[in-house]
Amino acid sequence: MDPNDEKIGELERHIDTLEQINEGLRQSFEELSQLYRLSETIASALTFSRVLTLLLDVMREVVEYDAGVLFLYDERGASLRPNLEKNVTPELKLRFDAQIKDGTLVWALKQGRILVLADNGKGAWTQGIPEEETGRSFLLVPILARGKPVGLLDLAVPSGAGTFNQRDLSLLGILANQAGISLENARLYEAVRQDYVDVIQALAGAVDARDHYTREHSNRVSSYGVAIARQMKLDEPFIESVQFGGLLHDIGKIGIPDLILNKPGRLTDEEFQVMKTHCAQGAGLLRRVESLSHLVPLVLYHHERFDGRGYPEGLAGKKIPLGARILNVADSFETITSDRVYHKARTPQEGLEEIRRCSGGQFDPEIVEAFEAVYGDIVGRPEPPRETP
Amino acid sequence: MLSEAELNKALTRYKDLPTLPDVVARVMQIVSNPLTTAEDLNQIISLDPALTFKVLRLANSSFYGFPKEITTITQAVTILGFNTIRNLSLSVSVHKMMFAERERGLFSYRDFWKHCVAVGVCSRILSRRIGYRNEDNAFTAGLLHDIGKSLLERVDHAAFLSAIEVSRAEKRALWQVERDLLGVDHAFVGGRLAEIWNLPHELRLAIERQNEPSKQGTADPLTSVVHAANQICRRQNHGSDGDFGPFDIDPGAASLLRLDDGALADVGQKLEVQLKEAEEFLRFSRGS
Repeated sequence: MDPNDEKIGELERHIDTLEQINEGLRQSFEELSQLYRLSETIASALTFSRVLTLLLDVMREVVEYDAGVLFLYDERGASLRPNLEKNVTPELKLRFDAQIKDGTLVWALKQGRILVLADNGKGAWTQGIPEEETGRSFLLVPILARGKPVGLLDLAVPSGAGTFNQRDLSLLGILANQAGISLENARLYEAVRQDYVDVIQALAGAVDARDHYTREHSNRVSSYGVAIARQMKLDEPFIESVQFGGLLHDIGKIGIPDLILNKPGRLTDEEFQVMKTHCAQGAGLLRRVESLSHLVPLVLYHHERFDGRGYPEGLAGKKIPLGARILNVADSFETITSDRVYHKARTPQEGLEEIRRCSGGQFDPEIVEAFEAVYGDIVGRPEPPRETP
Repeated sequence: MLSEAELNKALTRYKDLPTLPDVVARVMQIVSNPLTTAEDLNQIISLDPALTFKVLRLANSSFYGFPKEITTITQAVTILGFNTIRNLSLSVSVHKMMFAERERGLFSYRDFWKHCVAVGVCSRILSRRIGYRNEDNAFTAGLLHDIGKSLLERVDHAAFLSAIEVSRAEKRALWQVERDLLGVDHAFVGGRLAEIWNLPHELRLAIERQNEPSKQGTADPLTSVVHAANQICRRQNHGSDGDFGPFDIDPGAASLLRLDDGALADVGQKLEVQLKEAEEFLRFSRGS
């Protein structure tokens, strides 16, 4: 053989190798981009259930699967329970159930590594299931958060178990890890959120504990306010501020002396001046808590009147923050229709008429309109349980 | 203290280092390729029926505890993982080459293998404690940590035995006596074997640094695991490894593994239980 031919042959082989490497790199890059995009998608979910749903969707882009079940791990029973299902036929259901029963899934979860089971109709785990070669297999993808088992994704795939390469499996593993981290985040987020709501409830409860006549008052003002805000098609964060603002609108009453707060009969002018300070006192209290400070305008101005004759600042019309205008209607209606130191409860119908009468005076007509629209719902709603003081 | 260069020079005495059988060498190679499928691995391992048989028997042992029967190599790979099946093939093969049953005077390969299995099991327990990501590598690193001793024994039986004698008489660590008498020690030789056998890098380091885990600064997790497992198994008299030196655990390794007295007691208990599950690994020292 001509030594030149030999050299040319060698060069050609090198070129082939380089092309293969290049192709491999290109594929890796594409996979990385895909992985990045999918991880971002999963990471964007804030709630536990949203992460789980997204995980099932996102997996579809990486592996073609016929059906899937997402199991959550129950630490106390050391068992897995189905939480989400996708396209599960009765025939597949038998197989998923068998994998639970014979301990395969819990075993797989403990390994913390993806495994593939052939659905070949052989072996103890298919007992009672029609024996047949299906050419199908099951991908068991454990989901861990900080090394602790959270759940397991079981996917029925239309290909043989031996056909997955290590890269396929590690790609799925990376997504499952991302899901684990996101689930942990969602749990933390939900826990913090719950704490936040609990603290607000506890604060609202503190006022009710002092002012015996207003038990449940804050809860009702909050729920009427939310109904009005919904009717006005305001956005969710705003509706939520009305909800919490309603719960906390009278928080400043904590600072009002008992003799004035629970005085039977009318307040003197002097006493009323003291009573009026509850708006500013409440605002001052909330201002000190970063996560509650956005409620300050609602609490401070909930006694302002549309005609400018309210307190503490005598703001008028649209200068009064919208949330405060809503709470003013909700608060007034609730007060009219409940027993107070200074009056007996009037009927809802009477309350509605009073609100209508004061539209454009004490109340913003736009809000009165929204209130009229939800009035039926409000009075039709079962009363929250009322304890006798 | 011997330098790396001096150790290397001494190693030239052992120039014909044993090589892995072709099948296992190919297994080591293809598992490092991410595009390898379970079916690819099956095709290679199945070329060796004896290996296939042993790997399947180990895969079905209670050490792995899979609740159903595993009947093919493909299944073993998809269920236990590429890494585990590579490690099992390697262990079966290395055992056959380096630990085959024989009594050699003071040195019993039977007791020696028992020690190695115990260190493997203990390494797996320690690696789980610290959430080490690859517990099967920990097991294999423990199982194979002393391959260097087999080589030293095979190349110069008399010299190796006298090293054991000195270690016993003077209560000195065997590796230190080996350096004095042979110019190399089993950890260094083991590291070289790991290198030419293409063992994963972390396994090689663990074998090479097992006796001095903190020598290079901070102890790495796998080395610390193997080091501590070795000392624990020596204290508890699981098998024997020809070493009569102190039982101390390197402080760096102990703190990395958070090994206090309570932890040691817990590890010891788990070891007793899991050694029973690992019986199959002892059994293959008795032929097929």
